Amino acid sequence: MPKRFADTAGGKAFLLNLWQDNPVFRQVLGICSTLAVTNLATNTLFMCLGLTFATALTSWTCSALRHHTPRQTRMMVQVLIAAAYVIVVDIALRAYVPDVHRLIGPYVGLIITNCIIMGRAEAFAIKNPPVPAFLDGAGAGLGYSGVLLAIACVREPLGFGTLFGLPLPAREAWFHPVTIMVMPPGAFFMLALVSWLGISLTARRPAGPPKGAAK
Amino acid sequence: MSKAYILGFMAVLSAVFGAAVCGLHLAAKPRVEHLRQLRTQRAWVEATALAEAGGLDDAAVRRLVEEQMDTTGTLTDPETGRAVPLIKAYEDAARTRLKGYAFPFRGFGFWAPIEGILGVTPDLRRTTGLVILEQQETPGLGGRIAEPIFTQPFARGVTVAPPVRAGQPFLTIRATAPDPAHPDAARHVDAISGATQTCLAMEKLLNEALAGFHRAMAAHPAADPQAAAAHEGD
Repeated sequence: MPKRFADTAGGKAFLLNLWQDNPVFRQVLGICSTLAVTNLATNTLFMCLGLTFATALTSWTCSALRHHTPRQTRMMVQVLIAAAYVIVVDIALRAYVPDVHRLIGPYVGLIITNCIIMGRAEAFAIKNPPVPAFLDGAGAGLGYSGVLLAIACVREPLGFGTLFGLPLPAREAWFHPVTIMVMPPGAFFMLALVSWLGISLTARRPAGPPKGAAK
Repeated sequence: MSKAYILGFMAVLSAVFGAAVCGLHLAAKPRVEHLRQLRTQRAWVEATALAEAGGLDDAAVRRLVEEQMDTTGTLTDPETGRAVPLIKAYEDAARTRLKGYAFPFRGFGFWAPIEGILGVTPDLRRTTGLVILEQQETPGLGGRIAEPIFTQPFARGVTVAPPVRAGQPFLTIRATAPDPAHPDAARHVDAISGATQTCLAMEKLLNEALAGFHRAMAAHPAADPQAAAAHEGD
């Protein structure tokens, strides 16, 4: 009988990173870019795609090389691999979406130092085969993306009256810009709210007696 | 693992990833360069008000630049020794009627360098347009210097004739507009609310760029007789 996706090592890692062990509100990683790019949803989307691509492929490569990588230099190897994939993202943005690159260019370079990439490479990729490592990295990237997009989808409408650059319905009639939402403090407030919500929903309750057990 | 293996592994890994990234960079370079050039050409067209660049396709912008613009000129600011690239725009393909000039400027904003192109009329007394090419100011606040809310007054024409009094700025970017009857009212541009530091930086770098441009034009009267006449009249 074929294994369910959630029962495979990669599937389990993917789903855990997506929600239960979310890198942003559970592991508190990648906060710098969470604060920096979430005032416009389009910029957030491209940042998330870049980070997901870099994390998944860095994990896959680190895993593929794990039997050959000297233990003493493994972190240098991880940074080198992550840097290469981030440069690929940077070149792709520069060549195909230059307007987005002009806005988030400095943050794209900083993906190299994003703790999520190193965290997943160290915690999972160096101990597991390439496919589960890839899924683990992709899950972490998508988990990060979900939180960032949720924040962006509140900050942009409140700050600019737009979503993905498109004006909200009857904007002229009701919209009054909440300036703090497009500034860094707005990101702090939103991150705190989303973290609170995420942690509340994913809280692990102590296991009680099974239903129907004798009291 | 021996030291030789570690060194060899790192060298091979660095060479493989380095070569891959260099190869990709070289492959994308022509496209990146083409986009950069096209963006600059659009900025020249927009800054000199030669056409509404947004409504033109790439080929039309390129044709307009080739036929009605001279982008080969470079002046020198006699005070700083800096080269000032000079773009001349003509109303006709025969290049007989000058429409205006454009020149690039660069300076520090609130967070990072700001780069752009400013266009002025042939007599150097009014702006014809402003285009911001590079900026990393706060999105939604200082970042709005690249949006029409800030650039439109420059397209309508802000007075940038050499100031009468020494030390007086060519233009001001402030939140409060002067009395319309004030002689300097035409030099005023409305600041973006919430972006005071970026607007102050823009005011400083535009005034410096205009001062350098006027000095360079005055030192090269052959650059254009109309501009030379304007300076003689001051």
